Amino acid sequence: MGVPEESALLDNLKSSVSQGNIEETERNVKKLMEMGVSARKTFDILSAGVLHVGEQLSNKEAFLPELVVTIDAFKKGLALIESKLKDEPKPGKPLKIVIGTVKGDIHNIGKNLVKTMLEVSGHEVYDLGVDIPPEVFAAKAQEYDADIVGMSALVSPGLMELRNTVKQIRQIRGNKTNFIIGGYATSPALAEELGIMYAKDAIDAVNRIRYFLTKEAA
Amino acid sequence: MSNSSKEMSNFERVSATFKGEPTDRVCIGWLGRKETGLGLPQVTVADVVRDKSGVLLYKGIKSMTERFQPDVIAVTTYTTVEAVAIGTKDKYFADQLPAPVDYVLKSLEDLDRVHIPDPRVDGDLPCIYNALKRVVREFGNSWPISAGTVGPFSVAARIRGLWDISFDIMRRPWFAHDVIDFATEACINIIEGWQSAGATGFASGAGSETCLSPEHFRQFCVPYERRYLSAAKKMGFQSYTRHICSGPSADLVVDEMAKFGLDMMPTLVWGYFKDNATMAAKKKFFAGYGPQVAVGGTFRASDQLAYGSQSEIAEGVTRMLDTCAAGGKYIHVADCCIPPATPLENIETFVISAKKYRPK
Repeated sequence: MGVPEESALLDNLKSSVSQGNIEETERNVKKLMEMGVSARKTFDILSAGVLHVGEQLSNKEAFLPELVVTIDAFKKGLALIESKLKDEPKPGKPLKIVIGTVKGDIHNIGKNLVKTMLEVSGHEVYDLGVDIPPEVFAAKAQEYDADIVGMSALVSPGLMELRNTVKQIRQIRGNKTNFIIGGYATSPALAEELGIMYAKDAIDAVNRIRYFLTKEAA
Repeated sequence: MSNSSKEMSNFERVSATFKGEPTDRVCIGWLGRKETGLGLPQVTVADVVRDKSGVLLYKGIKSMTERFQPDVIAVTTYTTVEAVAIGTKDKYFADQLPAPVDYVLKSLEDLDRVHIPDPRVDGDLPCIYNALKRVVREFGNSWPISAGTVGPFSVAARIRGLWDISFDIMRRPWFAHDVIDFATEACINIIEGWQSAGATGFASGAGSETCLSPEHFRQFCVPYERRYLSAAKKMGFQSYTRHICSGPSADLVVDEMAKFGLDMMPTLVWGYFKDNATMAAKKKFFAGYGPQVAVGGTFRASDQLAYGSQSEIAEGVTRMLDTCAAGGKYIHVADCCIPPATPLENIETFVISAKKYRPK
């Protein structure tokens, strides 16, 4: 099989993941494996399928149900290459990102979407879950040497905890850890006041972190 | 709103507002989250919503009603109360509303194991039922009183989980329909209880449905909401309050709400609209579907109202009324739940600014 066929297969894979088509996704992944395409390359295409729907979500061309099945197809495809993927070198140094929903708030859909988008973008994501107190965020940021802490807050009482979390982490980590926030209760104004990043949705979080990486590298 | 020199009763003001007739002042809706004990010192949210006697909820509503004198009273607690009565487990916070942590429908078979809740006995629903009876006894002669549910789709999302019902919609739509069908019957049974306790208006709507595309909204929300509305009409409810929350498709599905059957009874569509101008445009849009549809909301409770200064709130209210109040069909409410920590002085400014408002 030649390069054009491989290229067509990769396109098919991206599209089958985006459409949440499990059978097609698995068939495409298996064919790529048979052709000897690297697990890393296959992973990148699987990820591109998820990020594509993330973009559609951001543009209001797709919604939660469409994304749920896309992630389902992604996971099924990933399961086929996971063992090989571990043996292949990662391109560059991934960012270590600690993520969670702040204390007093147990909403998790937005946080889970951001986690998925960051994972498919190749970052190391440590998900602390929901209702996370500032001291736990701080301890985990220290334990994992986090480059970024991401906090989600849907309900406004969580904002006080969000502020406390930023304060506590800065006390122990100084400038070593940066922050990104999102969720209905947060706002660009709050992020600006705290000197941190704000993401309006999951794909925006990926883009802002990508921009952050570019700035760091410069 | 147009000027009427005679001071109107709450019933007259509300009725005239829906019809677009002149009123003596802007109609003030319920003030949201009275259930959290705003105005009751030393009482936590958890204390109020778990008190099955409904006494604390009643006292919270009485305190807010006497202080702010709105034109409508809503007897509600939290937005997963129906699902908890069906078997979903919530986490109770001391200082804010409970939220679900463990959904009751984990498998397809679980749907055969759940039962339609009785609002008099199941979960925390008796809190509303008993408070409603007290509120109606004390205020029913002077105030329209409503109670409701979060509506068929949002109840379904709270018993199945929003992620899982999204999966069902795509992979096994027949099961999603079964779950929503069950949730619809649950909502109908609950409001039958509210009606027997004396409520004259009923409510519906929460954020889950605004995570759907317009097409899925048409399939999985509209027919069930129509059934719920029709049942309420048969029970004798006189008004319908329809919330639209701020999910990603909120601005796309708002127009679909016209298909619920807004001509069945006076209806308030309140909550998320992008801005004041959008809300004013939707007011005109809905008028084409139902002769008595009003709009309200847009004033952001979670920041403008909770954290704004009193002068900022007063200015915001005036700007909103300048755009939306002319011609009636506007009821003054905030966009969503008023956070429990909101200073009462801010709510006072929100109400008084509207009561004093006169069109330019």
